[in-house]
Amino acid sequence: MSEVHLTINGLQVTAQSGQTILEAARAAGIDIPTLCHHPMLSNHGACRMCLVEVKGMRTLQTACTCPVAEGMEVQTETDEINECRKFSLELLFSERNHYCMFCQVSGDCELQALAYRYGLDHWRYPRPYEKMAVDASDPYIIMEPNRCILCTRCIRACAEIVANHTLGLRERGSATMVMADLDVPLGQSSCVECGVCLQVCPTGALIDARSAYGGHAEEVTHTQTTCMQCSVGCQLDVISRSTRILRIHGVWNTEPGGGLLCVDGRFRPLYETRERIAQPLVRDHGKLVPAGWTEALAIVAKKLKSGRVLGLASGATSNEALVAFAGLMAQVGGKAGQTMPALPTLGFGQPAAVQDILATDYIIVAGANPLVYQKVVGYLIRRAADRGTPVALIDVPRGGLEASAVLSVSGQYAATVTEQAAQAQAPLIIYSVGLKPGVARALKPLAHARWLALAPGRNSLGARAAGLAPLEGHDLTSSRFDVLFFLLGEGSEEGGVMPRLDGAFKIVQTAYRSPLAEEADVVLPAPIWAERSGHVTNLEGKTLPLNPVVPMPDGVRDEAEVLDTLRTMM
Amino acid sequence: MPLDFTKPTPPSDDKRWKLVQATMRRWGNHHDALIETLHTVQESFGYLDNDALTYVAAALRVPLSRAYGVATFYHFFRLKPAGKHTCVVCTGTACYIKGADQILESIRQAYDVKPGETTADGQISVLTARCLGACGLAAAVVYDGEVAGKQDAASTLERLGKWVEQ
Amino acid sequence: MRYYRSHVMVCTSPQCVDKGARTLMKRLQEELAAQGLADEVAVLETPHIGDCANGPEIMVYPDRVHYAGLTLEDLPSLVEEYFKKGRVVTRLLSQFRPPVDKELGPPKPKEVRVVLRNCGKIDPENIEDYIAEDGYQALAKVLTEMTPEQVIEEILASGLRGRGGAGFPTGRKWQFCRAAAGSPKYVVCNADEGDPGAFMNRRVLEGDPHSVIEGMIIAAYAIGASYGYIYCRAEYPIAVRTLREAIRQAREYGFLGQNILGTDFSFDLEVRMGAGAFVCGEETALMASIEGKRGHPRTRPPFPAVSGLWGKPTNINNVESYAVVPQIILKGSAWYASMGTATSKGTKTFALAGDVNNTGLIEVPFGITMREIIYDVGGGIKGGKGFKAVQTGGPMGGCLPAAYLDVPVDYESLTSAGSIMGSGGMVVMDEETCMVDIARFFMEFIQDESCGKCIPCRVGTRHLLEILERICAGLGKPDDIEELEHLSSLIRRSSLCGLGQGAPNPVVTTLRHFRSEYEAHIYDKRCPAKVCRALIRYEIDPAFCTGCTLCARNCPVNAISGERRQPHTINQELCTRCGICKQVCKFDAVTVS
Repeated sequence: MSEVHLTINGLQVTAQSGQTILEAARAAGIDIPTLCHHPMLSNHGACRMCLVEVKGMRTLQTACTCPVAEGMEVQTETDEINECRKFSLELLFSERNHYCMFCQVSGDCELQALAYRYGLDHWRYPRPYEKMAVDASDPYIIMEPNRCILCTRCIRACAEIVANHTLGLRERGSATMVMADLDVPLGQSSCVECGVCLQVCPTGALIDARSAYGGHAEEVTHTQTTCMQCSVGCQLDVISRSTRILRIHGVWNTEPGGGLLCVDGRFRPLYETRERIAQPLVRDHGKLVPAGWTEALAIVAKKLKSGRVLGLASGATSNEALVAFAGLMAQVGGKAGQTMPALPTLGFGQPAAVQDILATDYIIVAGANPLVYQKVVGYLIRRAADRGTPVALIDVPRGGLEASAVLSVSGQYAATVTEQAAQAQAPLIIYSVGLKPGVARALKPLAHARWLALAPGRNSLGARAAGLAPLEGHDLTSSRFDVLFFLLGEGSEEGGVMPRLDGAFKIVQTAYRSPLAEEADVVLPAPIWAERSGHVTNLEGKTLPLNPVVPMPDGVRDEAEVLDTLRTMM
Repeated sequence: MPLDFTKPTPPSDDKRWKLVQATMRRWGNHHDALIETLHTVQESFGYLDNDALTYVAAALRVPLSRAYGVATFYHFFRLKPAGKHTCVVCTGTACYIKGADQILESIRQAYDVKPGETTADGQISVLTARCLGACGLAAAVVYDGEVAGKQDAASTLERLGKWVEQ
Repeated sequence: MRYYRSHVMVCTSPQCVDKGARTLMKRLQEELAAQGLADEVAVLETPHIGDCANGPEIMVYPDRVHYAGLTLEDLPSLVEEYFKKGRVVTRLLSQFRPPVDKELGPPKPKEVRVVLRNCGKIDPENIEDYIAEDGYQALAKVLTEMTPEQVIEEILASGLRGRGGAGFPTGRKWQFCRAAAGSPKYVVCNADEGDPGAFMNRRVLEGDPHSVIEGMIIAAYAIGASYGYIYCRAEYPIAVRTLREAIRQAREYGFLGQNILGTDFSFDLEVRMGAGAFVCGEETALMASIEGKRGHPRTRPPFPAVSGLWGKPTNINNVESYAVVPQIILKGSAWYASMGTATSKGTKTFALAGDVNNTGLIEVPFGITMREIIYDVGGGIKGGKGFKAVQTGGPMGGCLPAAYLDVPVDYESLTSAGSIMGSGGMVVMDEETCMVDIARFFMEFIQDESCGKCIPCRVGTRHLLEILERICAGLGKPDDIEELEHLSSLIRRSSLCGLGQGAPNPVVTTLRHFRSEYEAHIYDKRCPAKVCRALIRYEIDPAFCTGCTLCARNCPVNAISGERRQPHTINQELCTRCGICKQVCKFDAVTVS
């Protein structure tokens, strides 16, 4: 990197070699309009909005693609440039249905904003567009081709950010359109519903099925918090209007995922169908009936004081609640642990961060299934594979990653992988609970490797830090406990263990009705992800903040607060 | 090698897939062989159907969207079977001046097919070509692979008429 | 390396071997040795010469003397008479004549064949034929006597400019690519000759493939490339086949592969087929296509010389540019620069088509006038009709009227006349051509071939086409000309690649040179050339009609009626103006008005 000096609109600007004119101009505070450009994506140069004049060049250049050069003289706002920009906008408006008043993004549309900026007050060209069918086959994403300007941001995002390559272009010329796979409806395609396409679409061509018509940019609130759906800990930009959550975006350039989300983080929480528990419930004559907090807590305190207690935490809650839980269990002399299985250790190498997936020259995935359990990690692995990083799989179930792999073996052949990775400068071993001791031994020659352990569940590392070890063996099968206290948060997790329930008095602290809650003797309501304050610990071991987006409903109390109250009652 | 993933299997045990596999092998099964491979599929089977695209995409590790995008971008590729006979009308500049569009129009009127379409009875596919490089023979029409020069609407209809009579 | 004054190729095809070619070869060597010529004449095998039916046969280079039907008894006198005394033994000469290139024919007046010199003369499927015409000598010279810098200097000095259309100096391009950081580097040959009416490259690829291959190897040496691609359009299956065979033979002879001619220079080459997309002639789209993707162009800079195939430095030249390189190296840049004009050196091939008497491929030095091409080389307008326009440069070129007939043909002159050199398509139009219709034709082509990436080309050309269609249909509006000019100017300035930037050219040049025709269509609802269907009607002149019924029987819509031997009439309501009646009428009774 060396410094390059150029002038933009007569202003001296210093840029870095390799930067584009657009980057240099924006860094210098000079605005150049863009439409197909997106800072997270490769440059495309198709919309012609960022045309600038470069002295000595035969044609106008797209600022988003043209690299800066020493002594370059750039003009960004001449009459000719503005005429060309307006022309392209007029053509875009003539191509399809861009009647803003019927469009759900009207007001938040980049095309519309540019039309205002360049004074498009009438249609200059005829609009003979043919209506294309809207594709609403996907539960989360609606494709409205009649609003599409073919900027290909969605396609580039699908390829470059998620590495899923579902979206592409069909046909050519004026028949070109965005489509999925072999031109099938999105709902029947290989789409993984990560929703990144929605987040980058500049117009109303890709619509969030849930929040459409829900409110404009100036009417909504943005809250940044940490996703609690798995252990990756992606940063969320939660967009809400008063107490309604409209949609969730990823936060670009944040660790660990870089702004990429998955269906579990972006959509599923907003499509929650389980019944919320809004106040404490106690079992009365065999049935769970609503009760006041005082009554419920008194019953719980009494049981905790008298019985042999087993406390079990799932990771779907905050570090603060887990610490309070561990404290309470210690105070009552009970046994406490978490439901998630133990994460093996590799025994060599240095820990890595999630973003290191993109900065390594060999990836080994062992005993893990990230495309299912830590999807963003899975997507990043595929992205690395697209860039040419070899990916080898050991004991990884089929399910998508094999298409990106150079090698896929069962554990007994792990040494083959070790051999292949031996030449790598900085191999990365990504493993999870399925890592077998024999595989770890076979990989040991890669002593210089770094590793990324994919913690199971959601906040199992937070639970671990609170002293809640995985429970197994006879603790789960014995009947020596007569009080079971479950700290479930948003519910028990897939892959979690469950003790024998018969006979014991069961206390469940949770947000939703569930089979386990139905069996409980006392149910204490808990907040959901969007209502929480506190922290979680992600699979990198980083402590990440939880910020409330909406208030807790009346009758729901924060878990840590409830648990601390119980401690004072002991 | 202890690989536990296998190469995708062809859509059928048709021997022609061997030709397709040979093309892919010749280019190292690399994804840039997509266009060459689709050429072989079309030469062998006459057109590209979804099964073929899916297989080639998997074998070359190309996303389905790219296989389809390429197959529809290039006009040489056909996604539907062709008719029994094909009639390719050259629409290069020289042939245009010599009445290529009149030829196409007369075919359209006589058989109700536009360029790129096949007659309802599956007899004749009508295609256009962007200059066959036979400008000296304008207007040129290719009847079942055989180039005929100095064609006009009347001679073309006569030729197509013989196909239909058969 | 030993130098022989003559090389004797003995055909060892199965047929000739059957007739005793092997014994003949052995005895010929013995006879040459006996007469003391073993050090002067080399005897080699060749797989095929052509007259095997009268075998055994031999071909003597460089004299190109072909003897056939030889017997062992003929040898002593042949060696004595021919190899020693230099007298051709007429009675033993082969009567076989290699097929003349029908498409090319013998040189026409004012033609100078440099690029086409071997076409039709050599067997493209036999590398030895090419070698006999000094083939691969330039490569040997470059590899053994010249540094890459010297090669580039020589090409620069020759003044060779890119024959793909834009005319960028080839040596400069090589210089940029040589200077670019990155490895490996690639050389690519653009053989995606897509301009309708142009087939110069096909002729070279099919007739003299090794000249292109040799040129590419030299370019690779000059820029430091290790691999190359020839991107050939799928519409040229014979060219693809010929090239693949030529590459195979070149590899067999050690001109491609590792350590070429014993040097430490290595290079190999393959052919990639296009699949019917005109835009792939644009260099960045071409590279995308080689990579197996949709042929979308991308913005430049960075130029391919810096970031091309797979992001690596890549040199792209046209077929014709590469094909001429070996001759420049062998004969020197001064020889090449002696042809042509001050800024456009050498010769250019053109595909002459349309309404001229001699259509076909021609090669002429730059600086020749359009009039010389059309009237001397092309033999004038067919049927003695009047010249109206000549279209150069393909769909992004332009139509020039008679006023430009005396303009010298070179890059600058054509550009200043509003057209372009392009790859060399040249379509001559007589007075019966409607220029509005021609503009509409090209716009239809562009709309069909636009890749769809950038908005000005994708949608702007559609609006252009709609207006032109309207004018041709007799529905032109008074401000249509102004709108055409407005659209053209903006599409040219705001499109991404050369295709979009050049797309309005046919409209711009026809508007500039034939404005009155547009006005006739718009204001008078009249097509002066009697082409636009909506503005013409076919009628039968009763004075000439003999009532032969031929027209009525051929009319696809049954619009013609009349009794046998009575004048027929056309029902204008039914008539679709397809023109078949005029084509079939033997008595010129069908008139257009």
